[in-house]
Amino acid sequence: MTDNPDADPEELLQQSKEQSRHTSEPSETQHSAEQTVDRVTAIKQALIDIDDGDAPENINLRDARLKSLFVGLSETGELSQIATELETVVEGDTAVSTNSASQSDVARLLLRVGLQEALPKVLEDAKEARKQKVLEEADEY
Amino acid sequence: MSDEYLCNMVTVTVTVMSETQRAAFYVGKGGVGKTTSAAHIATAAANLHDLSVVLIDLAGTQNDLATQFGLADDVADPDAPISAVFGDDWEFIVDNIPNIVERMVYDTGEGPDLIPSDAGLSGADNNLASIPVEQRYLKLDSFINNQLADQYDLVLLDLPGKEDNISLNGVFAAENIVTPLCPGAFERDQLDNLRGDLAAIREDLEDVLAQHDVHPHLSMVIPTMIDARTTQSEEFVDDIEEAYPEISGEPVAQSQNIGNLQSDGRTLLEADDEELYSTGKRSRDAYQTNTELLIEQLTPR
Repeated sequence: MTDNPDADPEELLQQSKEQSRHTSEPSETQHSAEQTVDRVTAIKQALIDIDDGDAPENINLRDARLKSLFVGLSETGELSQIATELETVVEGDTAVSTNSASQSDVARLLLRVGLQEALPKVLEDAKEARKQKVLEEADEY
Repeated sequence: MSDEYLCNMVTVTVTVMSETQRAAFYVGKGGVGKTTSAAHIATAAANLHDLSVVLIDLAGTQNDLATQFGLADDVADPDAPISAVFGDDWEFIVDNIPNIVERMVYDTGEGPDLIPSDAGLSGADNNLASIPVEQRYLKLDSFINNQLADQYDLVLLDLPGKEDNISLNGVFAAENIVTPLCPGAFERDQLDNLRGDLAAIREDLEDVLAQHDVHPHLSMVIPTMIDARTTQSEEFVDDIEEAYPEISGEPVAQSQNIGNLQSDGRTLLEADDEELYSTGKRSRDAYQTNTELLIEQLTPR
């Protein structure tokens, strides 16, 4: 339900007719109802767990087509060149050595480009989670 | 009795929620006579059983029910869209627009009232997917309970010819499913699929259904567009009656009168005897019989 005390009920009623399948997006209220855990908190907790050694820090992907693509790029010696190109697009520090990039390095850079382009808000939340974790650790001293 | 004693008495207000009968016309296929059956049964229930009836068109944006009653132009841009019922802001709208239902309802002129569909229903269907499953399918039930039950004896829903979040809202709200089917190679399969789908819904959503005491089930199967001269029609009716003996309705004859009267914005019940061929009269009688059978099957909620 709307949180705006000044909302016009007649306007909201008429807006219902304007909904369409191809443009409709879940409302913030609906989104919040489904998302019971705050994203920043969840990411921060995962960072702490990984730091403490309570959770793995690798991502496993099973995708035969992508794997064959990476193997192909590795065979042709293109991984480092591609990593260099990707790093010019990725914002922030990637900690990837582009001189001897591995399949994993290229996959990591591609994931970051994807998040940056398609889900910037998620990436912002990840940054916020890291920031909060660092600040909380500083407070402990 | 002392004042002090009076002050300590607890006042209990008992709210008696009016009970209303409900049925949804539903099958995962179009062109089987769903809208025609809904319109005729609604009209027969209003005129021959003296019931206060409302039809809700959720079947798509074509507004076929409105066309059936000659209201297509009136409902082209409805004053208060039914799609709002499925949205997050519905409670706010109801709280602030007291005559909201009055603005939704159109008089068909043949007895039943009509709440037409609107262009927002497909978007509403999409948005429902984001709502937790415990609440997703109960929006329409809540609307009928809170806004319609006081005014109507019978609520009939014309649902989309496919399983989506709007049609499942109708299935949950009505519980009683009426399925019209016409002769054709795949129609019987369609009916068996529907029964299977309802069983799967009951199984998959067991917790939600139990929590809200909802039990969707097939209440009536109506063979439609029956041409008594063809073997295919005869076999089809026999097959339905054999497979679903307790819920088979009276077969409705195929009649040019139905289509012609629809173009004219009327049902068979609105036509004079002189206007109808023998097939038209048989169809009208069948719908009247089916209305009686359906009302006997329904339990007020």
